[in-house]
Amino acid sequence: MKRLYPGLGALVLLAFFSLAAPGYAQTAAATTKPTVPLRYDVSKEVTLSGTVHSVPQKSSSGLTPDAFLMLQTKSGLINGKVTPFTLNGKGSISITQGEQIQATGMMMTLQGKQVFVIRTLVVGGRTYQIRSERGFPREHPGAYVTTGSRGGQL
Amino acid sequence: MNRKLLLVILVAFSTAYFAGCSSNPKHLSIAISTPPPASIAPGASVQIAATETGTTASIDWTCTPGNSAATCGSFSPTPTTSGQTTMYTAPPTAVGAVTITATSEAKGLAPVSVNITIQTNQGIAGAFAFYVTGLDVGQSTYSVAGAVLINADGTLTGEQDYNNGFDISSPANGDTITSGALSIGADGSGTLTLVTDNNAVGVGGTETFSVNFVNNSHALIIQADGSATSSGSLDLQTLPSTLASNFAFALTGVGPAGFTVTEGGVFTITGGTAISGTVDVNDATAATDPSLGNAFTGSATPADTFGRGTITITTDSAQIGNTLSYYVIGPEAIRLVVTAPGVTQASPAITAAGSAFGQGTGTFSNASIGNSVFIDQANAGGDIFAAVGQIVPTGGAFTGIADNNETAFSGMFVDAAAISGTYSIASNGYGSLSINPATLLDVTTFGVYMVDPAINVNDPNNTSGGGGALIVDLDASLAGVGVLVPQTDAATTSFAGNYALGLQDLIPTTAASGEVDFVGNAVATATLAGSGTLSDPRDLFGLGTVDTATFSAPITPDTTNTAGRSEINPFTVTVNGNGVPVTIPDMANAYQASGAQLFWIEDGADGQSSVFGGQLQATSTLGAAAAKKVKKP
Repeated sequence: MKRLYPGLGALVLLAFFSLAAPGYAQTAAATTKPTVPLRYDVSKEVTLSGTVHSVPQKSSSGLTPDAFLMLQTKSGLINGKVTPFTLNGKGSISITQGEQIQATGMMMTLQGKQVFVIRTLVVGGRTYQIRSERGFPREHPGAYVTTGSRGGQL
Repeated sequence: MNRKLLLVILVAFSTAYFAGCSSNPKHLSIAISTPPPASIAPGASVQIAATETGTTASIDWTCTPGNSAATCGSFSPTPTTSGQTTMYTAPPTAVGAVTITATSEAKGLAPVSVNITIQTNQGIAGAFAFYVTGLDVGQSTYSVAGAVLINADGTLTGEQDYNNGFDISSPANGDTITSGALSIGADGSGTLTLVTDNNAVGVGGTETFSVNFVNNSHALIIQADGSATSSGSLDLQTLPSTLASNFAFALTGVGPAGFTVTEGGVFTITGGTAISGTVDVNDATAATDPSLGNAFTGSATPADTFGRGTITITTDSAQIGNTLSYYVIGPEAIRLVVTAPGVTQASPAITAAGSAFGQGTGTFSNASIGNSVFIDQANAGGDIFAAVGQIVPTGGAFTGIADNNETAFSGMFVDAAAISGTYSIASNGYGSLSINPATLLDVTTFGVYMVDPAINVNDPNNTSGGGGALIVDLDASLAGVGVLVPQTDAATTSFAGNYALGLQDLIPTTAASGEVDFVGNAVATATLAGSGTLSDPRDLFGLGTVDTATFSAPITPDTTNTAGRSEINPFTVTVNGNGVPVTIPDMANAYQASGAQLFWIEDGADGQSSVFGGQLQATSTLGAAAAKKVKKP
């Protein structure tokens, strides 16, 4: 084959290796693990009150990175992490911007961010448990209240 | 050479010459020069031709049985000239074997024939059991198990049990599948449509599944109709079957409080009805969970003509559920689904489904586990993760290599991590496996429930690839189920050829959560290239609820870890639907039990907020010839 651009191959190779970062070795163990796996710890829970600054919105198409329920508290803006079922599907909870809520959860560092992982929410005078004490998400959280009776947006 | 010998040779030659001329005058011959395929569908048309040598006589086309358009098909034109094609049109019904004959009008020339099979769906028919687990459009984890009798023309009837634990379920005697159809192409992909008498399931009572047959007796399936999405299996039934005595089982679902639940164990059926066993439960709620080694009892009813029976749990029903339906695949394989007739939002119930496999006649020990690969995955109701790996046992200890993707919650993942630990298997096949902490992130503890070495847990009718165990993840912060199967071939060069593949992709983002499932086929060479159907009932991709997906990804064997591990990276998937295609830059890693069975999960390094897990299963040629090799119902 006639070589039209003899330097092109080297440039392509250079570009490839430049763009391939962070090229962890093909066969080496790659990990982002911390020294101790993260688990929800109910003993580290705190309760805070705030105003809903913003509610995650679904994009028009494609998957989106995880978004947070942003809470304006006395100590500043908090990344509130709710569950996939909190705002989606049957038995989800209606939360609107500007609404006063109370959240109980624990601060964790997830994906490099300080996040307030929420276990219970008080919205409109109703208390919803959105995670178990072990941190597992709850389907249809609006169908349950902590007293055992039901309420919320069905 | 003496004259006598010469005379004998001349006589012999002359005899042979003239004998040949008696059936082949003037060196004439005829042959089918354009043969038909081995099988075609009823009413389908194909071109065929015959070519003569030594003559230009017309060729007449006939067929048996019956030599009519209704009984064996028709030809247009007939007669033909030598080499001229005729269009053969199959009869309108699946009549089975047909013989096509080309007869030359040249005097004395013997006809030539070719066989063809007229069949629907590559000859796939009979009684099949199915089950799926997944997430419906209302964000309820749900389960369906059922059975269908698929006729030769693809029509079907059957029954099923559906349960989302929240507001949709089947009555106590199940749903009747009043009609429906299986429709697949030569590549084994297609659709299974079930018309039920329950308007709450599917779309107005009709469920549509995308299927991809691995062989004549097994298909990977997903529900893909906009109402729900899920992954599971469709398997040929042997009916009636007398169930074996000892079983291992595992179920995955969501409990009545709305939290994920996984459970597994072993049980014995005595006298065909009395059940007693031991169950481990990880129901994500109580601080004391996982709850291990719970004794339970129950009773089973005999299976009906579709292979459906019921199991009533009399003790420990709070954890397992009050009633389950089972669907027989064979004496040592049943699908299980927890039932909840009349469930309402005001009174949620457990929903769960899974499998039970026979344990054979032998007893088990630590020596029952050899080199193995495993997959362990959450359901959509839990904390999302997927893990896959290899273990190499030595007595009650093991070493291995594994991948785990927990990125959906914490951003953590680990690839090709060295793992080690211990395991213990009791004589009844009930056991556990502990992975040394912090080597595979939060995945540390499995319940292990051994199955008959002759049973392939991923394809129960397959006489190869058997053995291993069902596993349940019994960790404090994760709940999942999976399988552990013997690794009989770790050579990554065996990862080649044609595959059916599926994946269950769990997407737990706050703004657009849900599940998508994929089933399709692919060819593995230096790349894995293929296509299939993607079910997206919540329209997370914005392209509609049922899309197509294509991919072509390089396969890079892991040459450092001789674990049968391959990296499929970049695994770029293009999703096509009603709009501009969406391209997803995934990465995936696979571990092989053999070249015929692989497990794969999404690599957390791709930075996606989703986690998928699934299987690749080598496909075999479908059709009548293959059908003879599998069990008949």
